[in-house]
Amino acid sequence: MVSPIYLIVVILGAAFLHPLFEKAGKTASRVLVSAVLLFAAALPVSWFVYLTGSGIDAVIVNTAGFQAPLSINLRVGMEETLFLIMINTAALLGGLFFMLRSNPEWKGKVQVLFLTMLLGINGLILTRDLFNVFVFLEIASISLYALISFAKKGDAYEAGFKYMIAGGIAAALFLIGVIYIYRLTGTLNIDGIIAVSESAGGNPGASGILGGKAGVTAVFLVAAAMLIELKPFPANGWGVDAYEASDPGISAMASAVSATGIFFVFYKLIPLFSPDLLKLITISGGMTFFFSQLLAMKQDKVRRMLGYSSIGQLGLLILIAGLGNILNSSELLAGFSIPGIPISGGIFLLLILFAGSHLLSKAGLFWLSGIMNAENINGSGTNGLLRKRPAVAGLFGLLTAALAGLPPFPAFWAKWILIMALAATGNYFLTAVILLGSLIEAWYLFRWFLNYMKTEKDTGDIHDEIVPEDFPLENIEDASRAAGIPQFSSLRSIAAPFISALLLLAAGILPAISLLTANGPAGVDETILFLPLAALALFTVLDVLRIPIKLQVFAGIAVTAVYGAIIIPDLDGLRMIFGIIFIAGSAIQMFPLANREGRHPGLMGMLMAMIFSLGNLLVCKSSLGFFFSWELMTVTSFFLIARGEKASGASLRYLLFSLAGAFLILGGLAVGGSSIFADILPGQADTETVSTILLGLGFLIKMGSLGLHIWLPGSYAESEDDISTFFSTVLSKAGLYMLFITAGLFAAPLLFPGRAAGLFPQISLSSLLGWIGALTAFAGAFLALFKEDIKYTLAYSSMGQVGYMLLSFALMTQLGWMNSLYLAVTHLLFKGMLFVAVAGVIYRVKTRMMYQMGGLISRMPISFFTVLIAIIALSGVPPLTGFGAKWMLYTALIEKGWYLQAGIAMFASAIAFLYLFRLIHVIFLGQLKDEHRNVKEAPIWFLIPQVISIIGIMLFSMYPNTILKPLQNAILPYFPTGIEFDGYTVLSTLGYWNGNAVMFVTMGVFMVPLIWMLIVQRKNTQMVGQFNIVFAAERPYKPETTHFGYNFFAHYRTALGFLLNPGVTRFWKWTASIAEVTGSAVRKLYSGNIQTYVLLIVLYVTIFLLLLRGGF
Amino acid sequence: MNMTQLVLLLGFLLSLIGFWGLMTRRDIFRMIISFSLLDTGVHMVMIGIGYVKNGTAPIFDEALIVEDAVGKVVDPVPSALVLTAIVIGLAVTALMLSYAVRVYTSRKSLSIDAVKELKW
Amino acid sequence: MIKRFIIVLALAAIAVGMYPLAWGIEDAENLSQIATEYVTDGADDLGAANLVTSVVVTYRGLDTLGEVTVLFAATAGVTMLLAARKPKKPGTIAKGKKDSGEDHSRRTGSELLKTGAALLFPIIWMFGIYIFVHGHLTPGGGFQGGVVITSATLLLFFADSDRKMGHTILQIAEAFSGAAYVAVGLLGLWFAAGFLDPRFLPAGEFGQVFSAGAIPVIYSLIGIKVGAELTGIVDTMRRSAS
Repeated sequence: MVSPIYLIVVILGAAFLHPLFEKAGKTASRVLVSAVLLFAAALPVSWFVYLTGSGIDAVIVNTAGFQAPLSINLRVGMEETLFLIMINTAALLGGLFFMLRSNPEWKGKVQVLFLTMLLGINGLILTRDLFNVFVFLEIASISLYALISFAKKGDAYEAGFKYMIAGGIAAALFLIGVIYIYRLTGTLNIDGIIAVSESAGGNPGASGILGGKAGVTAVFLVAAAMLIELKPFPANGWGVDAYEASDPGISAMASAVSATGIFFVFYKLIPLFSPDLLKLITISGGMTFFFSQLLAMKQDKVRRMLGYSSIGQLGLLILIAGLGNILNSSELLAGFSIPGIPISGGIFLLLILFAGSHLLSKAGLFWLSGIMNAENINGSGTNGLLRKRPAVAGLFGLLTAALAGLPPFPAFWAKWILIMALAATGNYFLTAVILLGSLIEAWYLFRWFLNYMKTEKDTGDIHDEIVPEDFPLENIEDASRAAGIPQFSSLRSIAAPFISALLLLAAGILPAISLLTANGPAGVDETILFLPLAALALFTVLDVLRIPIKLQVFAGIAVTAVYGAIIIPDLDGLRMIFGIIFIAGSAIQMFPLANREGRHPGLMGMLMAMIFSLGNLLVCKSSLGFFFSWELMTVTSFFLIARGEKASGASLRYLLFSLAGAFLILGGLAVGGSSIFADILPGQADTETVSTILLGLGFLIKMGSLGLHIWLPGSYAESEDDISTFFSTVLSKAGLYMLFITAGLFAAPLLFPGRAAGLFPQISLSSLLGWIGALTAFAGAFLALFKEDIKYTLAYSSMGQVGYMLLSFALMTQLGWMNSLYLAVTHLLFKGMLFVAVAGVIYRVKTRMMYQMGGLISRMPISFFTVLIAIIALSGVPPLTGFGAKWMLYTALIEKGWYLQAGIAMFASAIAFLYLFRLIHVIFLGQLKDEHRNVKEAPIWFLIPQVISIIGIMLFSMYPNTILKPLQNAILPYFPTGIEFDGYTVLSTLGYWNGNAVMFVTMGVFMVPLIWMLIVQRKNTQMVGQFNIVFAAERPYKPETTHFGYNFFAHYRTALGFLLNPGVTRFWKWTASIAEVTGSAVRKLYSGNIQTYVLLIVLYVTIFLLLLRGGF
Repeated sequence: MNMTQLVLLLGFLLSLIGFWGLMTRRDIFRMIISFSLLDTGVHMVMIGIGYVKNGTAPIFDEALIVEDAVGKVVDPVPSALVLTAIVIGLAVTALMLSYAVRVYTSRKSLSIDAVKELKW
Repeated sequence: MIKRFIIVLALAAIAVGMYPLAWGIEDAENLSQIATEYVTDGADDLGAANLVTSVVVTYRGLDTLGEVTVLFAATAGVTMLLAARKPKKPGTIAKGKKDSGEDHSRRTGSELLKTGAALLFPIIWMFGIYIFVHGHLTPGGGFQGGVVITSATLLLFFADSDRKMGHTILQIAEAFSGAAYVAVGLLGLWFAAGFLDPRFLPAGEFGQVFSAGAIPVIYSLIGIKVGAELTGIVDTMRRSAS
């Protein structure tokens, strides 16, 4: 039985009787309020059960014993029920938050007002009478006005007063609109008004009863009043003031309960609005969304930022509602359903996903901001402390990710559908606006998160190496405040945001089920894509159970191995190669983690989730499946980078660029439309050049190609030492993999088709990629050259190596592709060796500055040997794998006729040799430092992957066919004619390569002088002791400047230093400053003066009204 | 000009004065009074809309019997609505005044210029 | 200067925007359809002579319940705002005022006012009660009655600003009348056709005080509640200043 009356009666009765309960005692009133909130949340659930069970569309309940137009009626349909469930659940959690919090106390009038506000919102959702909407709106508004003062401070009074003035104007406009609609239609019943206006003229507003000037004005005033209540840009200053100044618990309710409820009324009234009005509404919503994000970015107060974010999210909802009719025509939206909800298709599901996601995450963050005593965005005083509260930090991260629309949360799925539907209906501009706004939103939300997470040592803007100016006179450790646990106010109330995070997770899974399993519109079962989440959950449980990190690592390796064993055999050639790189590569590199001690909450969970989402890129079949895995990979890797001690700046930049890349890919998928998983063969042209460019840019960002690379060095270098290797050797190849999969898109189309074709006849996208690859290879090597910080050297080196892969790929020839894959595999081996060996060295010597090392060959011989092998393999000198790669690269380049690129590649190789030489020389040769005289070899866990990789390198060097043959088979579908093999000799048009022979010859060349030195010249050879060379008496003031390894290539810097000018960084900073400046300029509108706000309201209303009427 | 238009015009004029006051008066109490003017103007508009030519109050007595009341009475609906609107306006005004008191105690001024700490 | 210009422009824009609402409307010749139904059937349906009352209390009864709630919420809000703890140094407020030199304490009412208030108080009360009890017959009703009752209290405060108020009685009256209103609505749901349907009581004889079902009951409860609430607001405001 559905009885909305009881919902109203119970809440209202409790509010009325509350003073009597209060007299009976604090507990009595608390029990009363809790019981009512529980009832209010439970009752709609029972309606949901009833409506789904009975299949009834909606239950209409009349009041006063008369039929609808005479009396006021209430409607309980699926829409109302779902919104009520969401809102009343949020209210229940809000009550929980207040009740568990000790200060200020949860008692008295604030409870009453809380109940009346909830009553107002419930009534708003239920009623079908236009004037009754006004009454319930006023109940909700007045309660909220009063609740703002709960914070009991000057700012709250100011905010409340402003809010009242603005709300009062909205109410006045609404009344005028309502009374004229009554005059024109003769009824106040919403259904009646819709019926009358439609029967008289088809389209409401276009003609008919409400089509005259008075009618248009009246309907507009109603719409405008609702919009003002929802705080449109620029008429919304009072709204953010209220969010900022209120008690966090009240702000949460204002955002979650009040705003969501008012939005539902707006949604309910949409059938009244004419297409022209809807267009204006869409514009207003879009502007609100975008500018609110821009303004939020500029805020330094946490709750003001969240307030702008709330307003922006509502703008997005308004935009969707305004576009309803257009979006509904999209195929994807029509076929979309959420399991368990008997509404299929249409924007309503989209709205409920966005609204629900926003409601829970925003309320959660408001609560959390209260619990953490978060006032300022920079979190001064909280530095590093949050890391000691992993549960709070994890919750913070979850809610932030949910609000930013990252997978697997509901907003992610909604965003996917929205963007696809927008693009499918040709709304490209809006697509871009929404994606840009979402990007800004993710930026400022995670900036907040990282500011609170960062350690004491982290300045937050580290993107490149920082060479200490002087010998550190003070020990930094002493300076760090040892204060233990952050000061939280009433940690108990964390139950409320915790439950909302759980609900968000659950709510995220539902649409996922419908979109990714066999029940979805695509009909492709991709349940395996949830594996990363399962892994994250499993390892989080292990963390909670305090399972030692070593056991977790072994479990992780085992699980990864099993996963690989299951999926790799079923993959086709190309995917199998990348499968081995992604999965086997990751499994091997997890060994060093076993060296860790103590607790590392979240580490293994995030890592496993990242590896699995990476692996899932290989098995996903649909565009959504791919995008989901891609974003999941981004999120998990972001959290991994953020663990680094000084990584907050770098990880934020990583997130920003990765998300920008993901959004470009999303845009490309949306514009392209067709599935990119058809393995389009090279040569098969696809016409959507725009789509290809967007996808390509997304992939190139992931690969860190020149111009898009500025996120790369910081992220690789500032992440924890045993984690960096995953990014460099495994993750960076995700972009390459996607390029291979979608190669067909890049092969043929000209960059400037059509009219300009005559001007640029030769420029195909692939040749552009080739140039980018060559220049990246050069730039990476060159930038690596001058680094003192070894991890930055390796980071730039990785960038350069990926450039080679890109260059080879772009050739679009058989040899080119083989070389690209060959490089990908061997890079995994040698760069993995380098990163792990270096991690071992850093672990022992506790510094990353190369000039502070030296002579470690005697202390760490195995690491030395690894690095030696790795740099030989990397630099491309015989006899190891790098030689084969270079041979294939130059051969392929020359065959293709890309001589200039070949020249650049050659030059880059020479530079690479320089920095590699420096690497081994400075770290392992020369003088052993005094303080390193007792360092030991790296722990066994670091050595295991090194040894495995050495074996691999040696095998592939001796017997190149063991890898070349599989690679050739992998690309056989694309290039059917085989390369000629003659035993161990590879033949090409330009010559041949016999890995075996090269190996023996080089060994010989190396061995002969060695033997000569050791045996014939034995007497003239002597070991050089450490103190063979001595300093002159004094200790130098700046010791590092006297070390031979410091500024090793100063002469090259003199010659070529101009190339180091960070032009790219400047460009991106300039881009960011455009946003900043725009934000600052727009901010000037928010003068804080309510009279300005009134003026803005008046201008907003009148300008839109005159636009709508097309003049006077 | 007919009766309805007269009331409507006066109502809108009152609202306009209210808007003017809200945008220009610096004193918080004057702003609240302006708001009341705006509200009252709207109420007048509502009443004006309910007017029916030559109608009287819809209260039955000896002079007005049910059978021939149609055509003789004004619309009771706007009257009912305006009653509700007035009470709500009263409630809003009361709360606004309380806020004004609090703003005064916290900022020591009744000028709206003292009430713009929250901005940007 | 520019701001002034923009304000003038904005006001002109309002005028232009609202122009079709004011000018295009003629005197209505006929009642709207629901109004016609109210007029023809309202008296028979509910037995109330005052049709506006029928609409307010019954047909649009949910609005009125909401309206009472608005007032209730506003009272709670005023209480929360003004009953907040006083600043620790009361002197600081006076300092900021321009006329800090003047005596800040209030004068007590003159003898004339005191006597007049005492004399009028019961009469005004009675008048208020009359208004809400006869709401279904004459122009008037619960709100009007409640406001009149409050004015009596206000008069007393004018005469003696330090007069004590019985808060418990006020609170009980407020809570009881509100809950009873909701309960009466429920009786309508259970024993008549719907929530707030007054016809679970006999319609009685048209034009009498005890007629029109539960309408007078509802209006009386509203009268008590409004009176109690407004008195509460007035009292809170008075105490916050002293």
